[in-house]
Amino acid sequence: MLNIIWNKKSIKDEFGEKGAQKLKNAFNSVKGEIFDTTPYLVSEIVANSKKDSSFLIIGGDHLFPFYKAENPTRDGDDNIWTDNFYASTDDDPLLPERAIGRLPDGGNLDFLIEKIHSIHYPENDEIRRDETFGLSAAVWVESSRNVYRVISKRKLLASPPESTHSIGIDGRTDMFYFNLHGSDKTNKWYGQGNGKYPIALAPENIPELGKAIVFTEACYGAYTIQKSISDSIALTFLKKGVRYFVGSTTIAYGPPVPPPTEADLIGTLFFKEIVKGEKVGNALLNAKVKFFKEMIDNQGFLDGNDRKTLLQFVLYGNPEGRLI
Amino acid sequence: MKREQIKELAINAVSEYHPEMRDVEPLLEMMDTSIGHSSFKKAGISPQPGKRIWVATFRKEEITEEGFPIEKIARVTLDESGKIIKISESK
Repeated sequence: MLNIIWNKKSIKDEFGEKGAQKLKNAFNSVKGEIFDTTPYLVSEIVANSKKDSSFLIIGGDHLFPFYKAENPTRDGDDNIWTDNFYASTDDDPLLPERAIGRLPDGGNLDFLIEKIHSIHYPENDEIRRDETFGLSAAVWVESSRNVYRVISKRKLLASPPESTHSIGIDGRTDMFYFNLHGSDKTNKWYGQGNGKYPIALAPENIPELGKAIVFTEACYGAYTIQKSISDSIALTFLKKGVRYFVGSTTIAYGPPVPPPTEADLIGTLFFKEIVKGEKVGNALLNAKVKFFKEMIDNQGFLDGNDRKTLLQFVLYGNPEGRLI
Repeated sequence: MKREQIKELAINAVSEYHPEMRDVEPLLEMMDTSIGHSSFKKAGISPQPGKRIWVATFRKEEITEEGFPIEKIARVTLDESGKIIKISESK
């Protein structure tokens, strides 16, 4: 059962009464229960929901703020923006208990309404696994191959030598995997190799796409706060047709070489759930729970990076969608 | 093990993958890994006691092809005896 979470007042403040009404009308044909609520009251709704319920937050941070979790690493991020808190029945945001996704707006009401319309029919939320695209910083190719091979037998591209000038993305691509550098200050992702950091991906590289799914390990890959669509690769992917985007809101970590830990591990576990046919929201939820268990089993504890990984990965898109 | 020895171990470990970090002075912290029982309950496993670990954080600015500065962060996790548990780097 999909539960849609929005805050009418913040929508009205941003887009006016007419905008709020337009958005409300867009909800009419979505199968699910609609809650006009505030961040403080979501936990109560979640606590009263069934375990298989899923939640979809409407709007970016300025319309429905991310929960600001304390950063367990001293790395320059003041907080970690997370939606885990809104999917938990208690006030501990480390592990969510329900599937959750969000539709960011990029400051553009029409874009938001377009994304809501795209979830009207269940068949629209099913995507095929025909074409894949994988791109990694050259220094991480060995680690990235372990993640990419869960979804594809195709060759993983490396940057360098690949760059924004050389890559070509097929509009029929259904699944994307990126292991690149990112920044909260630019709309580009970067490769790394031979002491160089070439631009590996820019919004201009993204063609019109079908119902695709993206998983990125890039730092700030899902950072959309105060970003317009063209300012953000995440928002550009969504604008170009991508239905599901999973990435990090803050600085993300991974190992220099296998075995997979941190962002590599959450990506591997997520893709394993996806190819099993799990719904996208459940795939991320299950990946987080399995990540927690695996780190306790293998390492005996979660360090700051592990806890940050659990908090920072968010889903943009309908949690009820799935790969067929 | 003394703090200076832990620092040296961390510098040696990070230098293997990041020779450019060899001269970076790391921030060295002793941390407690305790986690609230509710997370263990959500994961369906028995609560585990926290451990004391060392974490060394190395930060260095790099410049992208377009001339934009990005910060590279490497973190080395060690147990109390100085055994390297994990090396991580920022994406």
